[in-house]
Amino acid sequence: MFPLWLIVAFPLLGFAANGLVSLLSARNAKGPSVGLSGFVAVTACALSFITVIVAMGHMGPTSSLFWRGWDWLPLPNGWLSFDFAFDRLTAVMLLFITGIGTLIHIYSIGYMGKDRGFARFMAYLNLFMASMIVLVLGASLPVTFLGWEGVGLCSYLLIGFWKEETANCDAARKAFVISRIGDLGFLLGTFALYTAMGDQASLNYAQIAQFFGGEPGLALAGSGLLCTAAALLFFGCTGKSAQLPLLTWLPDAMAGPTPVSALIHAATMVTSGVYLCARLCDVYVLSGWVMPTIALIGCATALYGAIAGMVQWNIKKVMAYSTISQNGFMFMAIGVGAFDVAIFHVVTHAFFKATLFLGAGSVITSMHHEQDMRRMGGLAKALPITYSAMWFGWFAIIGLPMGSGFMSKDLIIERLFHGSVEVAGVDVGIIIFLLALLAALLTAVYMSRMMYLTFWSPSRVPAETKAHLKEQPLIMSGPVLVLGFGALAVGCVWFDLVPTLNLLGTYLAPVLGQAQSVFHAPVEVVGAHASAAPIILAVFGSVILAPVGILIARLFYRRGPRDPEVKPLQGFAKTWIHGLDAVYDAVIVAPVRGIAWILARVVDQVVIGGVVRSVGSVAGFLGEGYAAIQRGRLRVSVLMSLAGAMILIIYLMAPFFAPMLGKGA
Amino acid sequence: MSHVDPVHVQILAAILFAIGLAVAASRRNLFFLLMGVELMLNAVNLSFIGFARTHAAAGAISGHLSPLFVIAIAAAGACVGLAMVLCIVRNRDSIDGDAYAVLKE
Repeated sequence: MFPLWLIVAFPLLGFAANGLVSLLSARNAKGPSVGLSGFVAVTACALSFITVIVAMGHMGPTSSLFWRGWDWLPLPNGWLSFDFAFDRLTAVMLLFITGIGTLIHIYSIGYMGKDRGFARFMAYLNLFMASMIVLVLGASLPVTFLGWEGVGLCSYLLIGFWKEETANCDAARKAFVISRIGDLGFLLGTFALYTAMGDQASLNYAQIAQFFGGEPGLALAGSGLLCTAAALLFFGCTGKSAQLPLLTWLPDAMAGPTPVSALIHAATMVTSGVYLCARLCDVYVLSGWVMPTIALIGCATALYGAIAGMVQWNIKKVMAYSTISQNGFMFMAIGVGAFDVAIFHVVTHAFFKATLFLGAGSVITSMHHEQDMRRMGGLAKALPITYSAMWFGWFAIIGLPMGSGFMSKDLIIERLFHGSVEVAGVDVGIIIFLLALLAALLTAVYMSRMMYLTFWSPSRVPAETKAHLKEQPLIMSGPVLVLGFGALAVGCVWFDLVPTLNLLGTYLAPVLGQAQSVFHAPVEVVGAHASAAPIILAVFGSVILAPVGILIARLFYRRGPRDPEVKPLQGFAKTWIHGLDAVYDAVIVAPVRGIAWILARVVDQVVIGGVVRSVGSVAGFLGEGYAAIQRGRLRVSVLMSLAGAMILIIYLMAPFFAPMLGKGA
Repeated sequence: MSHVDPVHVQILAAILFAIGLAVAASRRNLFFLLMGVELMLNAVNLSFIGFARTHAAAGAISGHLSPLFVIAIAAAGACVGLAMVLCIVRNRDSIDGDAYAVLKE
C-alpha cells in the first residue's frame, strides 16, 4: 500500500511548523526568519510534488493506488472510511497543483517576504495545499467535501490576509458566504445521489462509477432524483468555480495578495468544480437535462466574464474575469461530455493564468502597489523578464497557434461543434458553438487590451514611480518565467492534429473514456469526423480569431486609454460589473432583510419578548409580595411556621372532620 | 395512688405546648426562645407518655421510647443552639433576636 497520506502530510506539517512559529513570535516585533519560514513551506510543497511523481511511478497502467484510512462516518449500510485514491485523473490534477503550487510558494517568498505576517501567510498557503490535495485525493464524496471546505476556509483566510482594511475583510466574507451557498448544493447533492442509488448506495467514487457505469445506473438514466443530485452537485461547482449565478465573489477576492490570486483563484481551487464533474462523469452522462444546463451556464459565464474583462481597468480584476470566462469554457466542455478536454483546459489554464497573475503581481510590486492600468503603459523595457513571461501567458490564453491555450481551447470548440446541447427538444449546440467562438474572440481582445495598456502603449507612469521602476529579483521573476515556458509548452501533451501525440487524452481514457462513450459526443464520433472539420475549425478558431482580437485591441488601445484619468467605472461598464450584485441585492438580500426585520421587530420583540417579559414581571410581582412578609424577625418566622403547620394539620385531618360536618349539615 | 384521667394528661401537655409556643413567639431574648422550644418538646414527650399509658396494647413500647430519643436529640440541639447563641452574642453584643435581621437585606 503506497503511503498516499504522505502527499497531504508534507504541507500539513509545513502548516503546523509555520503556524506554530507565527503564533510563538506573535509578540515579537521583528518576526521569524523569512528564509527559514519560506524554506519550510517550499520544501513541504516540493516534497509533496516528488511524492506525486513517485506515486505515478507505482501506479500500474490500469490500476489505481488506494490508501485505506480509518472508519469515519456511519452510513445506513456500513461505515464510510476516510480513504485516499490515486488514479490517472488524480495524478494529472495533483501534478499541476503541487508543481505550480511549489513555484508560487517560491514566488511568495519574494512577494511577501517584507510582510510582518510572512510565516502566517506561508502557513495558510501550506494549509491550502493540504486541503486541495485532500479534495483531489479523496476516495469518496465526503472526503472531497472536507477538502472542499478546507480550501474555502483558506481562501477566506488569505483574501482577508491584510485584515487591517475593512474592504479586504468584506471581500473575504463575501467569498466565504457565497461559497457556503454552493456548498449547501454539494451536500444536498451528495444526499440525493446516495438516495438515488437505493440498495447499493455508496459514496465511494469507485463504487459510484461502477454503479452508474453498469446496468443499475442505466436504469436510472434521466430519472428525477438522479438529475436533482447532478444539478445540486453542479450548483456546488458554480459556487466554487465562480459560474453564474455565484461568481461575484471572485473579482472581489482580488483583495488578497497576488500569489493567493494566482494559486487559489486562478490555478487550483476555482477549477475544483470541473474536477468534481469529471470525477462524477459516470453520473453526469446519465443525468438528462443537467448536461445542457451546464453547457448553457458555462457559455453564459464565458461571455459574461469576457465582456467584464473588457471594461475593467484593474489589472488583477481583468485576470479574475478572465478566470471566470475560462472556467466557463471548461464547463461548456463538461456540458457536451468532453470531460478529458475540460481537464486538459484546467491544466493549460493553470499554467497560463498563474503566469499572467504572477506577472501582474510583479508589475504591481514594481509600480508600488498600483493596480490601475490607466497609470501603466510602456513597462516592457523596464520589466523585461516579467514582460516576456506575460507575453508567453498572453500568447497561450488568446490561442495563437502552438500555445497551450490553442491546444485546449480549440479542442473544446471542436467538441462543441460535434456535441449537441438539447434544450426543450431543440439542439442549440451550434449556437453554443458560435457563442464560444465569440467568447474566444473576446478573450483575445481583452487580453491584448491588457497587454497594450500595460506594456505596449506609451507610458503614463507617474514620474516618482518611474524613477524607481526596476525588474523584480530572481526569486520572483524566476518562477514566473518557468511558468511562462510551461504555458507555451504544456499544450504539447495533447497535440490533437497528430493522433499519436494525444498523450493526455489517452492517459485519462481509463478513467473518463467509458462515460464519454455513453454520452452522445464520444471520442469515436470525433475521430470519424476528424478528416477535415477540426483542421478548418482550428484555422478559423485560432489563426483567424486571435489576430482579429489583437487588431481590435490595437485599434482602440494602441495609444493607451482614451481617458487616462483614474475614476470609478461608469455607464455600461458599471452596469455590467455591478449588475449581478444589484440583482443579488434585489432578489435575495432585500427579502432576507425584510424577513429579518419582521423576525427582529415583530416576532422577537413583541411575541417572544412579550411572553418572556410577562413571565418575568409576574415573578417579580409575586416576589415583591412575599418579600414584604419576610421581615427577618425570628418570632414572626416562628409564628409563620406554626401557621403553616396548622394549615397542614387541618388539611390532613379534613377527611376525619368532613363526615362530622356533613352530619351537622 | 389516685387515678389520673388520660384526658387530663393530654390537656396538661397541650397547655405546656401552648406556653412554650407563646414564650418562643413572644420573647425577644434568645435564651427564652430556646427555653420555649425545650418546653414544647417536653410537652410532646408528656403527650407520648400519656398515650403509652392509655393504649397499653401492642406497640405501646414506642410511646415510652420516643421521649428518650427526643430528650437525647433535644439535648444535642440545645448544645448547638446555645453555642450558636454564644457566638452571635460575642459578635453582636446583643441577645435580642429581632436585632438579627441582616439576612433580610
